[in-house]
Amino acid sequence: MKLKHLAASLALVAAAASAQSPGAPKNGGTLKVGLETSSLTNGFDPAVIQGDSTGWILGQIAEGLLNRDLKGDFVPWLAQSWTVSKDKRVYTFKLRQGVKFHNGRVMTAGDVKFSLDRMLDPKTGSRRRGELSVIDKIEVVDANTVTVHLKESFAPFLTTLSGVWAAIIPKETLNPDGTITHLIGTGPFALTEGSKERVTMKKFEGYWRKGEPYIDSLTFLPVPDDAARMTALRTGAVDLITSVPNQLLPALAPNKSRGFELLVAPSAVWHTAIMNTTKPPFNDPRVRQAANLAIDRNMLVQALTSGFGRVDNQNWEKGSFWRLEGDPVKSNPAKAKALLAEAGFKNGPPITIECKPEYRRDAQVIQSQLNAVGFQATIRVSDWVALNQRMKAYNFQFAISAASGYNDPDFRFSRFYLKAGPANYLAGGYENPKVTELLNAARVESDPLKRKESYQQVFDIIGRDVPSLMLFFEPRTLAWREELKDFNTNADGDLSIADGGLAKTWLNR
Amino acid sequence: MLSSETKALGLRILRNRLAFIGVALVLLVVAAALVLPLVLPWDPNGMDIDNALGAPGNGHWLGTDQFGRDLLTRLVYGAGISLQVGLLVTLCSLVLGVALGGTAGYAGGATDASLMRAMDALLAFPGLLLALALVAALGDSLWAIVLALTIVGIPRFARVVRATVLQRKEEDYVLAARALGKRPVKILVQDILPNCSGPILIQTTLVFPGAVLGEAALSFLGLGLPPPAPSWGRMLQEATTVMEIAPSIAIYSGLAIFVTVLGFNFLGDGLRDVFDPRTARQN
Repeated sequence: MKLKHLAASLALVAAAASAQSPGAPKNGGTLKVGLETSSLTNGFDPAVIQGDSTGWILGQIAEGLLNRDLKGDFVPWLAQSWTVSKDKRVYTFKLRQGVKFHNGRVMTAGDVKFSLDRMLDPKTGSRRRGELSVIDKIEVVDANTVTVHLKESFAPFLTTLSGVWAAIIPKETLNPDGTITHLIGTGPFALTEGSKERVTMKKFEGYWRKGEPYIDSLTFLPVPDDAARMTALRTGAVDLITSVPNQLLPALAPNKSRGFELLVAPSAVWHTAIMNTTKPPFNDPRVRQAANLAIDRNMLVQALTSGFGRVDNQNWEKGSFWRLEGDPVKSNPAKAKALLAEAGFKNGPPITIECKPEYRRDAQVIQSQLNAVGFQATIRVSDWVALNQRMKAYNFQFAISAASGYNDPDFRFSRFYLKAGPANYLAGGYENPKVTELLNAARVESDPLKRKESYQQVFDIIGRDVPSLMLFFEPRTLAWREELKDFNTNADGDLSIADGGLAKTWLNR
Repeated sequence: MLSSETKALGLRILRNRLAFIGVALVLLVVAAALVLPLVLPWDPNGMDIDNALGAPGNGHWLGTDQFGRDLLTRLVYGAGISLQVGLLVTLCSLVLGVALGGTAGYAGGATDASLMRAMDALLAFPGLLLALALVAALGDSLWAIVLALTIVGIPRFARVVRATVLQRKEEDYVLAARALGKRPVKILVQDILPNCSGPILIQTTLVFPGAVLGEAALSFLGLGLPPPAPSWGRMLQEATTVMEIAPSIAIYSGLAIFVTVLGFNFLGDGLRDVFDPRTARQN
C-alpha cells in the first residue's frame, strides 16, 4: 500500500475542502457533539480544568482577554486592545465595552482582577498558577482598564492569558466555598445542565458578537467507542464528532460520497514514551538511548495513523520562529543492541510497557520494536487514573501517553524537564542541573534570539538524555454532517477559536 | 484397552447426530490448535506494517490484520488460549464444585444449607459481572482469568452434584456400604461419585464453552490477557473499528468463537440424550 503519499496529499485537500459553503447562515437548531472521551469534563471551574474535551466545552461558556485565530495569532477578545511597557513588565488592557455575562451584568475591570487574582490564589488549585506567579499585582485603573504588573519580564505572558483557563468570570458564579459547579461567563452559549455524561447549553442572546451564535442549543455527549461514534455520526445521533479512527482514513478521505464532511489536518498532539529516569533500567541514559534508537517512528506513523500522522522531533513547525535545529531520530537497531550490551543487558532487560486503553495499539507496535533489539517487554493496560497515580509516584518503567499545545518554549520545556515542573513525572522524573539553569535563565530573558539559543541548548541535551521520546504527531480528525455549515477549526481542534468554532457554525435543516 | 461398556457408550454417542457434530467441531478446533502452529510459518505477533489489512495471498490464507500479522496464525494460537482457559477453568471448577456439592449432598443438615446458600449467592450474581470485577481487581494474567471464571463455574457443578448425591445416597449399595461401616469420605468417593459421572460429564460440556465465551467476553471488554496475545475476544474487538473496510477479521474471529462454543454445546446436548433414558430418542 502506497499510503504515505496518498495520505500527505489528501490531508491538504481535506483541510482545504472544509471551508466555505453557499448561502446566508440560518438560525436555530440543536447541535450534538460526540467527543472521543469516556468522561466529558472533570469539572466546570476553568481555572482547574484538565484535558482537551473539558477545554472545548468550557470554551463555549467562558472567554479570555485574548483569543487566537486559525493562523495562531493573538486576537483581541474581551480586551479590545493592549499595550506593553518598554521594560515588558506592565501590560495595560483596554476592555471591550458592553460585554455581558450570562446573568445580564456588564463585565468590568473588577471582574478581570477578580478572575486573575483567583487563579493566583493557591486555594483555587489552578494548574497554571506556576506560570502566572510572575504576576506582581493587578490594578484596576478605571471601569474599562486593567494593568498587570509583572515581577520580571515574562515572554510567554500573553500565551498564558489566551487559554480557557484564564477565562474572565463573574464573582456570582462561585459557590459559597469558592468552587464552581455552574459556570457563568461571557461566551456564546450558556450552560443549562452539566455532568460527565451529558452537557447541554443554550444560545446566549446577549452575546457581544452581534448575530452569533446561530445555533439555539448545544449538547455534548461522550462516545469513546470508535465504531459507535462513526455510527452515531452516520445516523445523525450526533452532528459533529472529534476524531475518526485513523484506520478508516485511507478509505474515507478520498471517498467524496462518504456522506459527511471530514477534516484531516496535522495536529499539535504528539504521542510520547516516558521512561522512569529514577529507577533501573531506565536510569541509565544508554538504555534510554537504546529504546530511542530501537523505535522506528516512520513505522509507527504507518501502523497507527495509516500514514496520516507525521514524524517530527519538536512541536514548532518548519519556518516558525521557535523551530530548533536538529533532525528526528533515525532508528538504528544495531546501535541500540550495542548500547544495551554496553549497559550490561545482554539478555534483557525485562520491562513493562504501560498505557491506558486508548494507546493499546501503540504499545503493541513499540513492544515489537523494542523486543527486536533485545528488550523483553510486556504490556500492561490500566485505566488512566491508576496509571497516572503510579507515574506520579515514579512507580513505573516505560509508559505511553500523549501531549499537546505548548506554543511557547518555556511551556514546552519547563513543565517537563524542571524537577519542580508540574509535569516532571511525564519526563520520568528527569533532572539535569544544566537544563534547570538554562530554562530558568531563558524564562526571564526578553530578547527572543537569546531565549532561542538557550532552548536550542536544552533541546540538544534532552536529545542526548532522552527522558521521554517524541514518537509521532497524530492527525487531527473531525467529521461533521453535511447540514452543519461554515465549520472551521485549527490544528488543536479548538471549538472556540476566534474565526471558527461552534459560534460561527449553523445548521441547514 | 476399552471395556465393552465404554465401547457401547462411544457407539451411542457417535450414533447421536447432535453429539457427532459436536465431537467433530471440537476435534476440528483442537486439531487446529495443536497442529496448525507447527505447520504455519508465521509468528503470531510478527508485524509487517506495509502489508496491514492485506487480502488473502502470499501465504496468508485468511489475509492479515491491522498490523500485518497473519490472521490464521493468530486464530489458531487464539484457539490454544481459549482451549487452555476452558480446560483449566473446567478442571478447577470440576474438582472444587464436585467436592463442595458432594459434601453438601452427603452431609446434609447445616453443612448442606450453608454451602448451598453460598453457591446460590454466587449464582445470583451475573457471572460475567463477577468475573469482570475479579479480573479488574486481580490484574490481567492467565491465572486471574482462570480464577475469576472458576469462581463462576463452581456452583454449576456443586448444584448438579449435590442433587445427584441426594438421590444416590438412599440407594441400596450405599446403605450396604454404610452398614459395613465404611467411612463417609470413602463411600462418597468410591461408591457415589462414580455413579454421578453422567450429570458431571454433561455439566462439563456446558462449563467448558461457558469459560471459552467468558474469556472472549473479558478480552473483548479489554480485561483479558495483555496484548499482543491473540485472544479471540480482543481480535473481535479490534476488528470492530475496521469492520467497514476489512470485515473478514471480525467474521473469522467471531466464527472461531461460534464454532467452538457450538461444538461443545452440541456435544453436551447429545450426551444428555445418551445418558438420560427419559429423553432418549431414535436417531
